[in-house]
Amino acid sequence: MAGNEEVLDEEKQLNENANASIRLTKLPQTRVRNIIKLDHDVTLASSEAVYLITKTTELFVEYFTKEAHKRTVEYKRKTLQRKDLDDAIKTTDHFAFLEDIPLD
Amino acid sequence: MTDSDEESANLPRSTIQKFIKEVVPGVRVSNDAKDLISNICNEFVHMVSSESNSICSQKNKKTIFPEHVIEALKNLGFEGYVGELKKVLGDLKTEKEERKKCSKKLEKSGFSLTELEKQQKELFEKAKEEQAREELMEWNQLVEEEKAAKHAQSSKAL
Repeated sequence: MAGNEEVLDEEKQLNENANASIRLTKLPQTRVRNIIKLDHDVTLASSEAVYLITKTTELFVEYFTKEAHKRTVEYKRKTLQRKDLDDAIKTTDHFAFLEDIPLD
Repeated sequence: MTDSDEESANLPRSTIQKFIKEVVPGVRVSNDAKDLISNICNEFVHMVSSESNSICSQKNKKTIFPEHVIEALKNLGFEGYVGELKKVLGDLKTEKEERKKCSKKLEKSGFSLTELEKQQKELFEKAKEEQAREELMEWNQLVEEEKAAKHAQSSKAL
């Protein structure tokens, strides 16, 4: 079927471009791609899209962890604890969405 | 979902923990804090993928592209990251172009990779020979100069 062939060609081209971005993230892009694929409406995600999602996640986690760490320092502790993260979520607008997510 | 399904659709805890160590080096992080951060990572990816997918479908495309991700982030309230992401995407494109140039050069030369490697080997061999020849000449010259100097010395002594 013509439609399937098109998709196959596109996938081939996307795979060829994939190598450039593979080593540029700390979090594994393959796992991110697996998560994206869980959504059955999705046919494909370009390697650049996967790269961006991975990179954004890294940026977010970095920001979140550092914000929590500020509380650790403020309370003169050496260990970053769960309550530091909870506090960051409660007091920062940017992280407010995390309150609604069942994280346990 | 089987266990292996669950594993493959989650970011590996160990990698996330390593990443956390790099973000706050020298800081101890409690286990429940690490767990929470891991969960947040996975949730975040789900959230952004889902939104990107919606935008992709809305535009009647079959493949999620960077522009869909960028729009998704804006919709989710993460415009702050867009600037940095556009920059890294630009860097990525530059790297791809460099690679394309390199492979085009290869194609243009008309030679295959094996042929080019052969030529390179021959050039190296040639260079080695030339250098050996030069060194031999220099050495011979030195020997001649030494001889001449000794001769001069001995004739003075007489």
